[in-house]
Amino acid sequence: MSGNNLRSVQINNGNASRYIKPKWINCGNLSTAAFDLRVGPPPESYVSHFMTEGVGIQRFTFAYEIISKKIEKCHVGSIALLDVSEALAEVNDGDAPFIKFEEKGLPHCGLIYLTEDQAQIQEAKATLSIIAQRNMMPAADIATAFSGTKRIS
Amino acid sequence: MMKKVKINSNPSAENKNVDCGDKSNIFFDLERNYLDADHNKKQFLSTGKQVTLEKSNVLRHVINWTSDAKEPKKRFYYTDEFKQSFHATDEFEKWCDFVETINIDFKQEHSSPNDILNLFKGVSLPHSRRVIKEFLGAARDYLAQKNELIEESLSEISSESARRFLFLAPLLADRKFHVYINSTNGCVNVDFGTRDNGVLTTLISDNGQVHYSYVAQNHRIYKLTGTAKFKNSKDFIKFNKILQML
Repeated sequence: MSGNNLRSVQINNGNASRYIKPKWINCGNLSTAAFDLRVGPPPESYVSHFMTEGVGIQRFTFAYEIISKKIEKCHVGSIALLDVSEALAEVNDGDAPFIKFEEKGLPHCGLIYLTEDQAQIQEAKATLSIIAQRNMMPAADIATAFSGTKRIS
Repeated sequence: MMKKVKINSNPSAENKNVDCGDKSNIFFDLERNYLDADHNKKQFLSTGKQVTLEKSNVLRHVINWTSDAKEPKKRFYYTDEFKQSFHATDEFEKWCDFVETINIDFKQEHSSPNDILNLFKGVSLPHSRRVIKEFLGAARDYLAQKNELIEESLSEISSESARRFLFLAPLLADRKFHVYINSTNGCVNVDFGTRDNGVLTTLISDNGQVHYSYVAQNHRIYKLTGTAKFKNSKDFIKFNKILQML
C-alpha cells in the first residue's frame, strides 16, 4: 500500500512474479482469483507483483528470495511469472488498454486495472491466468533450487 | 432415465394408449405429461380429459409431426435429451421457486455459512448438495479472511449474487469448477477448466448479469467474452448456453 504515494513509472517489459496461494490452484489450473483486487479501507489499487531477474530457473529463485522475505510461509504455495510485455500485448488488445504495470518501489510493482467494466476485468484476469500458468513452480521446489544455488555461491 | 407409458385409443384402458388423431402415437411420462403439436405442455387426466399446463419452449425442433393422412403414420419418439430437458426444466423451476424463498444474508451476525446450509435441510438435493457445499466453503474461507484483516476489509458477500449462484446449482452438479467470492465486489465468481486447457471464468453479479470470459490458447490466445442478462430466475437455466462452450 505504501507504494501508492510513489512516482508512477510504467513498466513495459521484464518478468513480474507473484505468490500463488495453494487455494488458487485447482486441478493444476490457476484460478482467476490470483488477480483479484481487494477493496478498502484503504482500497487496494493494484495487484502486487515483484520484478525478477535472470533467465530460466534463476528468475524463480530470485523471485523466491524476495517473496520469502515478505511472506513467511511462502513455501506452501507457488510462484508464477508474468512476462510483462506479453501480458500487456495479450490483455490490451481492445481499443483502450485494460491493464498496466507500475513501479511501486522496485522490485515491488503493481498490476493496475484501467477499466471498471467487469466483463473486461474478467477477460483480463482469465488471460493473465493462462499466461501465468505456463510459468509457475511450487515454491518448495524453488526453495530446494535456491538452497542449492546458495551452497554453490 | 424417465419411464414412459404408451397411450393409444382409449385412455381408460389398461394399456393406457390414446389416439392422438393424425398425430400418431406419442409417449407420455409417468405424470402423463406430453407436448402437443403446438408445443403446449399438456397433461392427460385419469378422467380422460386433457388439460393444457403451459406453453413449452423445450426443444421444439425435436417435434416433427405429419398431418398428411396419405403419408404413413410416423411414430414419434422423444429423444433421451428431450425427455431429460422436459423434466429438468420442471425440476429447475421448482428449485428456483425454493431458492427465491430462502433468506440468504451473510451480513447478519447470526447468519453463518452453516446457517445457510441448514436452510436446505429436508430439501431433496440429489445432485446440488456438492455445489452448495463448495459455495459455502468458499464463503467460509472468505469470511475467515475478512475477520483476520484488521486494516484491510473485504466487501460483504453479496446476498443477491449468492442467490443467483444457487439458482445455477442444478446446472453445475456434474461440472468441475472453482468457486470463490470476488473480493472487489463480494459477488460469486466461478471458474471452469476447458477441454483445450483454457479457462472459462464467470462473475455472477447481483443484478442478473453474468459476465463471462472464455480464454484459451490456439495459435494465439483467443477469447470469447460477454455478458448474459437474466431478468427472471427461471431463465438462469439458459446459463447452460455458456456452459456448452466447455
